[in-house]
This record gives sequence, structure tokens and C-alpha cells, in this order.
Amino acid sequence: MTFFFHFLLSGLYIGTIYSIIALGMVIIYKSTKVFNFAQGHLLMVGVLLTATIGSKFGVIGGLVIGFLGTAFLGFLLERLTLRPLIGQPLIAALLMTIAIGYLLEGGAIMAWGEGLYKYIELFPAKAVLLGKFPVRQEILWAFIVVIVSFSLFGLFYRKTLLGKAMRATAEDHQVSQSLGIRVARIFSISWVVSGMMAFIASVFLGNLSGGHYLNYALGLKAIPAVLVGGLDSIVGAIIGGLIVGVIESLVTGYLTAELGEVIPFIILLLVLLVKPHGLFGLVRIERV
Amino acid sequence: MATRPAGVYDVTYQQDIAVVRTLPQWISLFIFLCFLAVFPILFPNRYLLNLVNTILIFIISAYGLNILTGYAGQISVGHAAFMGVGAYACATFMTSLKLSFWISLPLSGITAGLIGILFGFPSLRLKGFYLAMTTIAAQFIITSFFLHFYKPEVLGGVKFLSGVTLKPIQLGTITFNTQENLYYLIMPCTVIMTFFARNLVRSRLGRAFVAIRDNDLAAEIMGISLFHYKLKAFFIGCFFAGISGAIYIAFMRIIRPDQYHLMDSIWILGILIIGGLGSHLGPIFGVIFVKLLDEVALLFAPALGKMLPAELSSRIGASMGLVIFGFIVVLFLILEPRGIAHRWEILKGRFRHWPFTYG
Amino acid sequence: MAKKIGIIKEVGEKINGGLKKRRERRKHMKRNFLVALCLSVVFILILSSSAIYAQSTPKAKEKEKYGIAFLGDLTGPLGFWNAPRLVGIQDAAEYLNKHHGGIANREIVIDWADTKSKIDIATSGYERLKANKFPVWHTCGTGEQQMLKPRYEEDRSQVIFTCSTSPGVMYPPGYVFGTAAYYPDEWGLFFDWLVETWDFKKMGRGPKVAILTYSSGYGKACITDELFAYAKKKGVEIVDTIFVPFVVVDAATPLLKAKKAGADWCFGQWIYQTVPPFLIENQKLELGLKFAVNTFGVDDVMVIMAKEASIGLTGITNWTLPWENTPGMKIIRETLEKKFRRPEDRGASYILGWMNTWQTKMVVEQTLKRVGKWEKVTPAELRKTAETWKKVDINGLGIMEYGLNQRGVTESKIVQVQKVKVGDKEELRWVALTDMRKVPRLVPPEWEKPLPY
Repeated sequence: MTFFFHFLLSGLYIGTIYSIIALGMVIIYKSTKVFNFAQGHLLMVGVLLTATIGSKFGVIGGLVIGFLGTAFLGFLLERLTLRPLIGQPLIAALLMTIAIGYLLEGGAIMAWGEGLYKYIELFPAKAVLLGKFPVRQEILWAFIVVIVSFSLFGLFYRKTLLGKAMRATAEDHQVSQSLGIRVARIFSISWVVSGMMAFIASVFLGNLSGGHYLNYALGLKAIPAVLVGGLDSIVGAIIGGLIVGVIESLVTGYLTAELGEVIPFIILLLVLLVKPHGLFGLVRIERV
Repeated sequence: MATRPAGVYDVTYQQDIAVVRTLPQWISLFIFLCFLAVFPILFPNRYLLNLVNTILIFIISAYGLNILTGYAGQISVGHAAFMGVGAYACATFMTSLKLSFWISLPLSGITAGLIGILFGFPSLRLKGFYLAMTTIAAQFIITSFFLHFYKPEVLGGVKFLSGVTLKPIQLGTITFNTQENLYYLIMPCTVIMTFFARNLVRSRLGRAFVAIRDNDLAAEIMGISLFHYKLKAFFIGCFFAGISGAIYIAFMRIIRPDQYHLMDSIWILGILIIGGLGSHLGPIFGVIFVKLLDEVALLFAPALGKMLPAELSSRIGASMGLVIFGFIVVLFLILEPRGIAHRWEILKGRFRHWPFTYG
Repeated sequence: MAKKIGIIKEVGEKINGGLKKRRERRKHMKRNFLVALCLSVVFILILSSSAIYAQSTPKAKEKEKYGIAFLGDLTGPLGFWNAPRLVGIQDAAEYLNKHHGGIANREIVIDWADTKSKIDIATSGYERLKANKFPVWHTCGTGEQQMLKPRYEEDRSQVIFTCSTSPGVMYPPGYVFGTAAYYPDEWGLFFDWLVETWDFKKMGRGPKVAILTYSSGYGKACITDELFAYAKKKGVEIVDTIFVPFVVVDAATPLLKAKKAGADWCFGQWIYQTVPPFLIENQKLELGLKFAVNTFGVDDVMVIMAKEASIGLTGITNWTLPWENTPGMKIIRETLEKKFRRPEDRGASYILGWMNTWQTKMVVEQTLKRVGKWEKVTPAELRKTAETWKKVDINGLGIMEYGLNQRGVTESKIVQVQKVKVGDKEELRWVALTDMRKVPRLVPPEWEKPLPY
């Protein structure tokens, strides 16, 4: 029974990381209709920045610089590489994010080398006892962070003027533009917010595995999480991430690790066959 | 393509859709084929032949993806996995069923095509981006299957080796284990598959694909059964991938499960975009350009490394390749999204109506 | 009314002016693109031709060169292992050039190719490096070595010192030599030690081990039939085989699986990137599992990364430990200080780079002494010389032993991370638990026969 609990817990932990990554992708997709393959790479840059700067300037310095750096990187990417592609077909934007991913990977190797960097010590090592099960502190923190960030973002999206502008842009670019919303600025803002989300996820990822250029692979593993939940649904991002994380962890624990790696994609296929737009995604009516 | 040289006009339908039209075109095609035939004799450098062989194999694969994504509009980011299916099918046929390579080559293509149809079923309900995601799922599932669930004993290999080495193929007394021999194996296959692809797109099937790409709802209304034609597109695209994968293991003489990553699929898609998606010469241009770029990057990485202090040399030198590739793809996407093939057409047009600027 | 028309006219002109500007910008962009493309192509051509030129011109006035080729994965998943090794080779080459005049009075130059752990890139890298005709290579990457081994033995154009002492690479014995023991042999020695130090009475049963390793060729190198048979013979029960990725995200689940299967020890072919998260997780969850690594895991970086959690980490090695005071290690420590290498770069692979370079120097100079002239120093002669090495000490860095059909060393010792008192401080470091002992030979019989010269 304790094993089940442990597997469940680590599944929830991974699931929350997937959710945060998925939220970043969903934000970008909702505003710009571009699927960001480079979300994992943003994560990687966040982890490496925080790890290296944190070892020199302390925890707070590392966090602040990492946060600002990732957000700024998101802004830069949008401005330089995606702005010229407005109006181009879907494949171009998809491939652009992939090419950005390549660039970021090469750039990360150039700047930080291939070695593993020790991440800053944020969470104390002792586990908290919940009943009689030891629960690591970062899991609790991950939950708190996810709940807080989702609710904050949800509030921002629904109540503030900027959030309403983003929702309008998500509906239709032309109409928003003609109503006076600066659509290009909304794109930049959504990329910046997505960069912030990537940074939050990177804090937990760094805690798990340290700073290394292969961290971008997590972005690829979060793709099923995003799609199961529905690409344009924020609620779907959380639910999808948690479902995928838990099932993956349970399958890895009770069956084999190999099956655990592939089960998210099988879930993805099944969900897409039943509900083509994801569990919570919006169905769009197409006209000829 | 619509511009003809002066004095050349079409009278019959066959002439209109012909690929090679005038006598000079036939002669230049013949000369080019002769050049291909004697290429290893002119350039016996092993390294160059290795590169050319790799390029030829990827041209087949790129044509497959061109038909699937460029002509039929079904975005597929799982092409490398279908190459893997073809490779494993070929290896299994050769070792377990003891068929000769020449029979298992088309069979492995058909196997890959059938698996492609299997993963193409979602295309009936999904389109565009979500279909790309199911192909990503296909990529991971197929790769994971080969990595973990496919017993190497089936291939006659030893359990602990990461891959299984295969014997070189024989045709009569010729053993295909040198770069020259392999060139003469690969080159005719590539020529045949290119010919096949080129003719496919000017047939009824090709026109149906283009109709589906442009507007699939309208195509359905006009009577093109989306179900059949989308599945056919998947079959043909993955058939090419399977053939390419099978030839690849004949070339490498080893089969390894961890060689068919997502990044390879994306690489092929990037090659197509650079070359020109949905054009006739796009795959060839794309593959040649990208592979040469890769080799140049790999070549001058150590030279760059020599100029830098030791701890930076491997980092910067080796990552230059990634950066250059990403950068060139970004440039192409921003400035020339229709690829090199488009520029080639413009260039040909310029020559045709020089000294006028248009005509 | 007129004002309204005026305003509309103004807006119209602004829009038109904007559109016109955009049209011109597009035209300029297309032209700029062509210019940029041509310039970049020219630039790349210039650079590459200068690189090829620099490689090929024989500089008659300068010293004669002796080349070492390095073929390994520098930017792929195993990049973190090979990059410090290349740095080590380069540092060693610089040191030898400065203090010993290079190898037999020839300046050492290094040429390398990146394989990215992909066989097509590895093959083209191999073809390219082969054209240089360097007689000694350093390589890495079990998967690629297993694939290239038939080509090595067909071409017979170089002797290779490799770090992957895996099945299919070292045996059948040919032109490939390893710097450690054959991996199954190492683990056989580990089982010997485990059974000797196991308290059967207290535990009431034999030791149970779980294999936690990579799913690559390198990781699977310890999963051989011979090793499993040997484990059974010794009474060690292998309860589970779990594959972990290179950069671990979820360390808890594999550990819990191992614990669920009842393992006491976890061993595998894993290196410094992967083990520290498992050690830390083990400590946090208080699972009480013990871990073992092979020669390439006996690494200071493990201790730096995992700190207290690494106490008890056991390894098998035939190299000297990094804190010992042999001449080779002292030179390495001086160089590390002088060049301000990062702590992550001071690991086992860096030392391996040095070791391979010293080995190359020794084998080439011995062969030269034996055959007399440089022209006679062929790969076949180098191989013959290497095969005569019996317990050769590589300048205090390790002890190598080869033979006619021996390509990995025959003796290793068990080491462990412990907290020891050094001077008046306590520090964590690797300590030898046993002397050099003979490793069991777990080579499959079909690979005993050496390949032709």
C-alpha cells in the first residue's frame, strides 16, 4: 500500500510539472494559434540560468535572474522569429518553434557546456510526515505553486482588462484588431507569460535532475499532457497533466518502465480518437 | 512551370502533363543519368561516396513525406519511425524468414505502408495540427516498441548487443559491402522511386491529394472519398519511408532501435520545407542542401575548435552544427517559406527571359 | 463634412503610405535574403576551405606531427561524458608537447569528430577521420563502437583505445583495446566481493541485487547471459532489471520498484549524470538501498554532486584514485589548478583522456624502439606491442594489462566512498576496500579466438 501511495505521489509531482508546462503551451496556443515545441527548451534555459547564477549570487539572485531571463527570452523569441510569420500557414510556425528549439539547444551547449550543474537548494531535504508516509517537501510546494499560479492566471484572464483582451485575441485576431486591441502586443505578452510559466516549472525540474542541456526532453513528454486536456483549455492543462503524470508513474511502478514511457502517447491516441479536440478543448465548426 | 521556351506549345493532353518535353530535355536527362552511372568512377573518394549514398537514401524518404505532407496536406511528424518499421521488417524478413533482400525490400515497404494506414486512421476525425500530434504519438510508440518490446532474438542477434549486425547483401557473386557497390545498389532504387513519385503526382491520385490539401470539405463534396484517399496518402508516404529504411540498413549493415528519434522526423520535415514543400524538386534540393550543410558544420567544427582554448573547443565546435542548422531553417522560414525549389524556378525563369525582367 | 472627408483622406493616405512601405520592405527583404544567403555560403566555403587547407598542407619547416583521432558523442545524450574527455586529451597533448617533446619527438595534433550517438553521423565521421591515417584513435560510445567494430576489423587501419569495454567491442579480440576490465568481468568481481562480505547469518538469505541501468548499448552491456549465470553460481539473486533515462526526472519510481522487488543493492552501467539524483532520493526517502558503479562511475563529481548521500557508493576500478600521489595524478592536479577547470570537468573522463594519451605515447614509442623506423610503425605492429603489455603502469594513473586475447584488464579493486579524516578535516572520498584482485573471465567462448592482423 505504501508503494502505491509513493507511486501516486511521484505521479502527482510529475503531473504538476507537466501541468505547468502545458499551461505555458496553452497560453501561447490560445493567443497565437502556434504550438510551441520549444517550451521544453525555455525550461532548459531557465534551469541552467538559475543553476549557474544561483551558485554565484545566491538563491534569490538566481531565482530573480532566471525568472527575468526566461521571460525575456520568450519575448525575444516571439519578436524576432514569430512576428514575421504572422499570416503564414501552420507548418511554418510549427517548424519555426522547432528550429528555435534547435537553436536554443545549440546555444545552451555553447554557453553552458555539456556538464551537469548542481541546482540551488530550495527545499529542505527532510520529508514531512503525512500520517505515516514521508512526503517530500517539494511535492507540497509543487501543489501549492500549481494551485496558486493557475488561480492567479485564471483571475488575470477573466477579470483584468488585459486578460479580456487576450481572450478576445484568442477568439479572432481580425475582430480584436479592428476593435483596437494591439494583437502583436498580446502575442508578446502571452509569450512572456509562457516564459514565466516555464521558469516556474524549471524550478521543480532543476530540483529533480539538475541543470543539463538534455532537460528539454521534458517538453516533448508534456505534449501528451497538453493534448489530452485540449489545446485551448486552461482547465484541460491541469487535468491533462495530472492524468498523464499519474498514469505514467503507476504504470512505471507496477509494470515496466518502458511501458511507462510510452503510455502517455497511447492515452493521447485513445483520447484523440474519442474526443478529437481533447477532453476540454473547444470544438470549432468549419465551413467550406 | 507554366512558362515554356519560345516555340514550344502543347497540342495534346499528354504533352501538357509531360515531364520531359523537348528533345534537348531528353538529351540532358540522358546525360545526367549517364553521369550518375559513372559517378563512383569519377570520384572514388570513400568519404564522398558515403555522403552521396546517405543523401540518396534520404531523398527517397523525403519524397515519401513530400507526397504525404506536401501534396496531400497530412502533416506527419513520425516519418523516421516508419523508416524504422521498414528497416525492422526488412531485417526480420531476411533473417527469420530467410527471404532474399530483393524480395524483402518491397515487402518491407508494404509493411511500413500498412502500419502507416494503421496510424492514419485518426486522420478521418482529425485534421491539421491534431493529426500531426497523432503522428508524434505514432513516432514514440513505434520507437518504444522497437526499443523495448521487439526481441532481438527474432533477428538472430545476440541479446546484449544494442543492435544486430547483418551480413552484407549478395547478388550472385557481388557482395555489397563497399561504398561503390552500395552506390550501385542505392542509386537505381532512388531513380526508380523518384520516377514513381513524380508520376504519381500528375496522375488522378495526385490531383485528388492536392484537392484534399487545398480544401478537404470541398473535395469531399466533389466526390473524392476522404477516407480512401487519406489512407492511400499515408500508405504511399510510409511505403517510401519503409523502402528508405530497408535500404538504409543494407547500407549500414546494422539495425539499432534507438536511431529513429523525433528529431529525425523533424529534420526530414525541415529538409522538405527548406527544399520546397509540395514541389517536384523540393526533396532533392532540401536533402542535398541540408546534408552538405551538416557535413560542412561537422567538418569545420574541429578546425574552429583548434582556434579556441581547449575547454571551449568541443563545446563550441560541436554545437555549431546545431546552431547553424537552426539558424538556416529560421532564415528560410522567414524569408523564403516556399523553399529552394521556388528560388530555382525563379532562376530558371530569369534565364529563360533574359534580358527582360519578366515574360 | 469637408473635415470628415479630409480626415478620411488623411487616414487613407496613411494606410496607403504604410502599405507602400511594406511592399518596398518586402522587396528589400527578398533581395537582402539573397545577399545574406550568398554571403553566408561564401563565408562557410571560406572557412571550410581554410580548415581543409590547414589540415592538408605539410608544414615542412615545423616539427613533424603525430595525430590522434577522437570519435565520440559530443553533443548528443552522452555529450557530458565525452566533452571532458576531449578536454583531457587536449590538455595531455599540450603537456606532452611542452615537457616531453610530444610522442617520440613528433608534435601531437588532435582531430575529432562528433557522432551525436547516431550511426550515420558516426560512420561519416569514421570515414572522414580515416582519411587522416592516424594509427591510434581514442573513441567512445558503446553503440557506435559495436556498429563500427566490423569496419575496424576489416579496415585494420588503426589501433583504438576505447572506454567502452563492452561485449562486441573488445571481444573477439582485434584492434580495439579497453582501459578498464570487460564490463561483465567487473560485475563478476563485484559479486565476488558482495558474497564475501555478506552476512548470511544475519540476513538469512543471499544478497539480492537490482539492475538499474541505461537502455542504450552501454547500459545493456552488463546484461549478459554469462554474468547472470555467474551470479546464480555465486548465490546472488538478480531480482529486477529497470531502465532509467540519461537525465533522470523521476528518481523515486525506479528506486521504489527496486525496493518493492526486494533488492539490497542497485548496480548498473551509469555515470555521473544519473547517479546523484538517485543517491539523494534514496537518502530522502530513507530506503536504505546501496549502489554500485563501474570503473567509469568512480568519479569525484559523484561525491561533489551528492555530498553526504554518496557515502557507501561502491565501485570497481583499476585506476589510481584521484587523491593519490602518483606522478601522473600530480601532473593532472597541477594542470587542473593552472587552467581553472570547473569541478564538473575533473571527473573520470578527464583522467581517462590523460590516460589514453599516455598509453598512446608509450605504445608508439615502444613500437618505434622495436621496429626502428617510423615507416614501420603500422597499426598491426602497434597492436602486437600492446598485446605484450603485462601489468604496465600508465605513469601512475592505472595499471593496464593486455594479451593475445585479452583486451581488458585482469585485475581491479573495489573502492567505496567514505568519510575519512585527512589531516584534521573530514572529507568524503573514494577509498580502496580491497587490493587488486583477479576478475573472473566472463567472455563467451565463441569470442576467444583473436582476429587476424
